[in-house]
Amino acid sequence: MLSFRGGIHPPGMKHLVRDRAIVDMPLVPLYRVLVQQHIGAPAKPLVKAGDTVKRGQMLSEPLGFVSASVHAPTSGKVRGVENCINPVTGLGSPCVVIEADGEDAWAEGIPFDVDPFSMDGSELISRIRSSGIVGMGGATFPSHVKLSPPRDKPIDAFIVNGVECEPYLGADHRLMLEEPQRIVLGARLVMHILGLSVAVVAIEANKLDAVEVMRKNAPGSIRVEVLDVKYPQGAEKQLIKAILDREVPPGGLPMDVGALVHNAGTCAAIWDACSRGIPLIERVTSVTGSGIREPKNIRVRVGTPLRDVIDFCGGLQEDASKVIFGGPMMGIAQYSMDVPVTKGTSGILVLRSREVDRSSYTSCISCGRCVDACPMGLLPNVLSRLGERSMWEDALEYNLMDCIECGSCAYVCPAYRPIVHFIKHMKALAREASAKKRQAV
Amino acid sequence: MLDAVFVIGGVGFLAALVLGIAAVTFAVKPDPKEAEVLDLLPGANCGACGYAGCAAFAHALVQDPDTPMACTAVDADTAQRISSLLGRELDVAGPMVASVRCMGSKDSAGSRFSYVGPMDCRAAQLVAGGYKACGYGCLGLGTCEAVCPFDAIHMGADGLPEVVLERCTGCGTCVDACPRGIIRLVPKDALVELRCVSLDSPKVMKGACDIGCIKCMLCVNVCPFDAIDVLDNGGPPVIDQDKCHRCSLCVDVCPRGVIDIYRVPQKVRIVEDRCIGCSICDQVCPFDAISGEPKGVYVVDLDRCRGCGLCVDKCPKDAIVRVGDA
Amino acid sequence: MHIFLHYVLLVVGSALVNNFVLHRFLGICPFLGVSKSTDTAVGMGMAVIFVMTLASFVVWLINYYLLLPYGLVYLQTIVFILVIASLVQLVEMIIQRVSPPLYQALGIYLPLITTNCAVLGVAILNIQLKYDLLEACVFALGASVGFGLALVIFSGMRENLELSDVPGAFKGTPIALITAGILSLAFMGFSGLVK
Repeated sequence: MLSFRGGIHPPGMKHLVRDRAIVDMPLVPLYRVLVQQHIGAPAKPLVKAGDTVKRGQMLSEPLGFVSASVHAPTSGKVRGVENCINPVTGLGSPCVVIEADGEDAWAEGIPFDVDPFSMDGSELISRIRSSGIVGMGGATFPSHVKLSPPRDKPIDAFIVNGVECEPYLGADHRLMLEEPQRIVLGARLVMHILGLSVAVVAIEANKLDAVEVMRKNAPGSIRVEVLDVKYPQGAEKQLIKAILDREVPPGGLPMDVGALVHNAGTCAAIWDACSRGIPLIERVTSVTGSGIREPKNIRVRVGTPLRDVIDFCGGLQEDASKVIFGGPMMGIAQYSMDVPVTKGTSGILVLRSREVDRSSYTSCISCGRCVDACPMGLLPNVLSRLGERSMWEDALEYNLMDCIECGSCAYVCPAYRPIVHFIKHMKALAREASAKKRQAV
Repeated sequence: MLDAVFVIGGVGFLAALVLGIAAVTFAVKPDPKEAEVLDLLPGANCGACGYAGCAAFAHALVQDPDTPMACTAVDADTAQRISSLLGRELDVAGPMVASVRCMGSKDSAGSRFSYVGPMDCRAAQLVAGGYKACGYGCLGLGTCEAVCPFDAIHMGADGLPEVVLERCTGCGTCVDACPRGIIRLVPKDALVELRCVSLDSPKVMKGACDIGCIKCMLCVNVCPFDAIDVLDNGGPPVIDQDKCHRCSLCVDVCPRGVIDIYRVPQKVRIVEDRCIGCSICDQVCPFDAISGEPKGVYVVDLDRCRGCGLCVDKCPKDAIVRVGDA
Repeated sequence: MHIFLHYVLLVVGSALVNNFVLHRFLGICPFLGVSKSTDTAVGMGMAVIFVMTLASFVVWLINYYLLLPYGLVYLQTIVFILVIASLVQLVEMIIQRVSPPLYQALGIYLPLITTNCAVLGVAILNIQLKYDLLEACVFALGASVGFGLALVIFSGMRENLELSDVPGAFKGTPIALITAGILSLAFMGFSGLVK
């Protein structure tokens, strides 16, 4: 089995939740549904204070093609469109605040039951779009866009991403074990839309039980590939390299090499949306880490405040000091307990004080460990030195924009250098400069 | 002897011929305007403008219409002539320096979370909008110090930057680099500044910082020169440095101590033999600090005088000077 | 074959073994002044190759056909400098026309090639070592290529030094000089290459 260059082997830490079956998180009194839970143009809120909403009702409509809608996670009354903290940016963002009425009544018409295989591709894509489906591996890219490649870039290979390479996380693992049919049917739907006859489900070798279950549930047209355990195998480009031995060109997208990757959870959501009309209003999330008293895999509604999730999972340990949305490698640390769960929250990781490294960084010693580790073949040592001096123009020549920000370099650096942060800093400066240039023109 | 002359002369002549031909073949037409602008510039090659010498600055001024009038060594008249030569407006404001508008030191302003990462304010701003409880205050990681080409701004022990006025040329690099827009350029002789830019409501701001502006507007009301403007963005009032007479009344009246005075201006006195008793000074003085009989010699009450210097400007006989001057 | 080897050894000798900058310590001024960036170093290297080779050619002719026959060898220094200065002027004009950015980047160091002791040095060495015309040109070419090589290598190192945490007291010229010394030591490894 081919793999990708570089990569690291952090401890898996999946034992905390790997054997915990998915539990449904009960309803909470207040939901904060962020209007922007996707990459792309913001969405326009359709409701206002005082409106009554039902579960699954559209709350905002997408503006433009690369945009996505959000839907009400439960029934209740809209308290208003307020400013809430977005867990990805840490900044205030508009969100629809819903006071739940406890009925959890569905919006009219959903759920229904149809055979989506009888519908044609464009109909299905339209349904996926209006259901607000976005990439649930964490990137939250609108799925209908991925399924509509331009005519000159046809897709000939589809991979279901069941890799879940981030340490601590186990949501996709449990989903594959407990609800394989939803994933398989969703994958078959994607194949139907793209007109493909085969697909691959990629699973890492630390989830052999899931491999067995998926193999049992998949038809002959879908084969399951077992990959060596290495971070970041679950990253799109690395997955395409390992399974298809194709390299996405610098600055390019998977469609440039005819490939498409969808997270396993996204496939399940696609099935729900197309066969039953259920929009994306909940997801499976691993609440884990030694800082939470009762680690669990929960099925949680989008918009549930962090505070409530933590209460449901037994509360924090005394010395819990860091809460991360996502995994320890690419997740975002949170500073407020009111921040809501979003479509892309693959995990909520709580770390204790002694597990958090606060070392200040020193000079790069040119040891080269980061160069070995980088899955994109970049020179993180040079990029970190350029970043320290904010020399973004020189960094562009070192393929600054091709960094996938996986964190492998920072993980191995003996000088504790925050390399990914340096890179993000330079990317921000570069974007600012090109925005200024566009303005001037 | 003659041989030597012929040889050197001959070689020289040949060289000159070759160079002459080359000069025509490889001629590059320099812009004559550059030479004219260069003539008007001081020619000190001090680099304050940020360019490598006056020739480079002249070149930039002529070739790039966006080049600001960064030369701090020309007087207004010369600047005007350069302006007409270039056929465009140059804003000449006299020497400017950086002014840091935040007093949220380590002791006064708290943090929302502990930050670990690059020691650069712009990089820190990427993490949830910055670790400071106040979303507008100084992050104190020294980006301004790092980018300053003149080594004219340094981070103090309290976590706030301090401008070294003697070295600051007003180039504006720190102004652009600060991710929170805390630094602005003010005239070099400005003495008073309101050092807060928080757009938060007073309630929110008080929760984040002990010293920030609570927008009580006392300063705006007390200013006798109407030099403090209220902005419509909900932010603190801003001192109009062109109108400010540095009388420091606002400094005294501010309940938070967020209006800073660099140094108290000197009081004035009236030179007896020049005073003609016209009483203009008495009329203009906002603090009622001058008294006297018309046609007689006027006198300044030093207890009331605040050194605003309005009388100095208005006196038709230049009879009022700063205490300590001749 | 024997002849060819003779010229190869000449080039290797002047470029590597007795490198003009790192072994003979000539031309230090542009070496330190233009080596801040590899782009300008390459430009300067090309300019020096042109000037050195052509100057050596012209100067050799003048020495053996003008100065020697008329017993005016004592005019060597003046005439050599005259030729070199004219050539540099020529190169300056060409560069200003062909590549204005390079002209700006080289700045004052372009006319300083005139006073570059390496150029005068190679001219005089050609006479001292009694080379014939071809040998003189090959020697000058090797010397200038070696100069350019040292310049480019050093500029690469300096660009890297820019990104390193050099202690305050050493920042800038001090660490550059130390590096040049170490580079010189490294080039000593070539001695013994040519017997």
